[in-house]
Amino acid sequence: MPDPIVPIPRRLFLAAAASVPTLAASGAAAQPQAPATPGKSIPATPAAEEDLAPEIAKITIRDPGSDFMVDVLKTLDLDYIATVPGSSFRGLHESLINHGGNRKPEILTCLHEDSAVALAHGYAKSAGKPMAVLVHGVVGLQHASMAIYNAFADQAPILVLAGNLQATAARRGGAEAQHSAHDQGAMVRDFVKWDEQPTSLQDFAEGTVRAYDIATTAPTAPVLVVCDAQAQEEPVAADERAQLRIPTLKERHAPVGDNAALRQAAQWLTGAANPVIFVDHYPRGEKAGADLAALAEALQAAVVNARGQLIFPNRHPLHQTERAAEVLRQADVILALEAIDFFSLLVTMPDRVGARDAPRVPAAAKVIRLGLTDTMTRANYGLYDRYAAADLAISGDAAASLPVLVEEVKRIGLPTSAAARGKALAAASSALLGRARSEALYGWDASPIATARTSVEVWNRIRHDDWVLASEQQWLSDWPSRLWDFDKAYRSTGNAGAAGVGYNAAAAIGSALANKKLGRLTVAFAGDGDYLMAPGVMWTAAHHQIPLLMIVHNNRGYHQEVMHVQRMADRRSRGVDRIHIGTKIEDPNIDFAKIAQGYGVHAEGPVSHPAELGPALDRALAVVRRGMPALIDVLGQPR
Amino acid sequence: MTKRSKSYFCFILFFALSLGAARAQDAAPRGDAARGKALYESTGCYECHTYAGIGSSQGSRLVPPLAFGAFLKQLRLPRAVMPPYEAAVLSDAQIADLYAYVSSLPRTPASAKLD
Repeated sequence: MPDPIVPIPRRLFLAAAASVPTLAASGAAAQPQAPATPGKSIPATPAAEEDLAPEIAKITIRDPGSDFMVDVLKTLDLDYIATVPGSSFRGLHESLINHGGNRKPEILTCLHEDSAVALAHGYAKSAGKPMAVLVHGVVGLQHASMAIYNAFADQAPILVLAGNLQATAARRGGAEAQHSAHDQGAMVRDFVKWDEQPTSLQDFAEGTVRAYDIATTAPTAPVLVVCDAQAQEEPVAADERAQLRIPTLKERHAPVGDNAALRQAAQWLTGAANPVIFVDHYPRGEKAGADLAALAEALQAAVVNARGQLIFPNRHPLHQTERAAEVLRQADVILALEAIDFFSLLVTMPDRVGARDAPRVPAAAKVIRLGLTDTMTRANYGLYDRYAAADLAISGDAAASLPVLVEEVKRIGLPTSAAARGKALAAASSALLGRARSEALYGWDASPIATARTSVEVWNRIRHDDWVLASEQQWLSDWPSRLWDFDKAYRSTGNAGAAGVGYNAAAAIGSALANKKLGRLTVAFAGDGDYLMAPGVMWTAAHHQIPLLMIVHNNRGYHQEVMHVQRMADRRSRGVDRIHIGTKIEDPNIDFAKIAQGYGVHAEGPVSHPAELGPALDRALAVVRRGMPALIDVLGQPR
Repeated sequence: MTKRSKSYFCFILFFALSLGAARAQDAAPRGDAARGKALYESTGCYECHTYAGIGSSQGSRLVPPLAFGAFLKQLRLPRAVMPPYEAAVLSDAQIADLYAYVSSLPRTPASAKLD
């Protein structure tokens, strides 16, 4: 069967034809455009082949549209672009490495689109700015979609670019057609902040700069721009290029909440007997952190971090996260900052047969909600959960509004009795730390290794570094947040957002990439089930020399689900001897060290005896301090 | 109720509970720790309470153990989110085995000092 005839797009044909006389007359027919960066130049066409120039010109391209696309990307503050290569963006890929010189952005090679986005997710939280992710048309975006959902839930800015061939008549059929769509954004529209499918290079310039602007404006979130393959691959004539305009990104200021409302909030908070500040998706920046501490101290208020967020320092005397239930039960005024799951702050529902809503706060308590997070509420997915109204809702960026609130609180002042409240909170906080240190010693020598022991062994080896915990920690029963000193908001990157698995290892590598530049040591934990969703991301860390201590908390199962299935079996009194079916990851046991070694990563394990853990960590950290990733498989107690 | 009578009532209640607990402890049937260990793992106690019985974010620490009566009651009619274990799933004799195993686990923390 003959190859199908591939029609040359009209625009391409005309461009090639128009260029022929000029090229021939100038004698520079095959002189390539100089690349933007030094590199090997293509040899000039030998004289003997000059008569072939017109024909060669018909099948070669100068100044492709994707070069302009790279020019657009270079106007944005993008250091990296994570990708799994795909033919729908082959033109853009080539322009990134040759026209763009593979710098700003530099390509990060990934082995799964889900990992590429999760990597960008973690990077955004540590770098404080977005990374671009370039995915293949349709199938690449489908792979990426769960990680985009996580990032949307976690309000992490990411510029997602997807390849596509918009014009149906230009598709060659097969994969090229299967990997194209008329509206790719439809796939992720419910969980990106904005999406654009440009139909011209000018549209691309405006759409991409706008997308970046929207992604980085609070509440931050992922955005999608679709890159048309024809626009990438067709040449752009010089006069046409001269007409193209790249908008300049300008500074944008976050909205401060209404002054009268902030004054009202200050009145309530300063008059409260037991004020509580609840911190959710509040920024991790130094200034934002200082303002938060200033507010807490001015109010002598208890501060509770949303689960896994660790924004407010856990050893600050006013930090009360572990006593959240108690302080909320006693609260008379609550200030919720950038709360996403606002309903769950106020109401709980235990996982029991016949359970009903149970209030967490007194009915008479006044609740203030300050932030912009709920402006991201969407119709379909349950991220914003059930509805609860605040007594005073202030639409304004919490970080931008806090200086005004602090000023007002200081102006009003506190009664002298507030000092006693602060002392009581400090004593309770200190007692919790003492209790955690005591509790951690139970099962100290147990094998498999207790999660508290693992946490302590790691902590003892990183505490004098400028460190970051770049993963969730519920796998370890939250021992790090109980035992480690999270003295700065950047110490923790929080959680996945929407609990989509496969997040931790990839996000940790993204965070580690940002931390490498900042001179910070990155450590991360991932449950074995979570890690196994995309272990190939360790190759990306090795390939790009990203230093990270990755610890697989190996309980040989999807342990959360082991517990859920058991709960069902118990409620139904049908015995629990079959709950391992579909939940355990054993027989054969997986050799995580061997897998990681296969990716070129230093790895040890399974480490099942506590005495072996310290030396294994020392060896791994020596590798990390030399600038490379390392992995330890720790066979642990289940949680 | 006056303050004094309230104190008296509390004392009686405490005494009665202490006595009850002590009797329940005394009344713990003899169990087999080896069988209990196998049950501890096969019935999934380890999932929330860990193999070492030291507890986790999902379940309380089991060492040192409760009095047998309280242990039994927690299995049959649990507090918090622990699922119930009816007699059809765990017999009293099996619970005695479990209790024997939990009682055999190290009860005290290590002497290390953390900071």
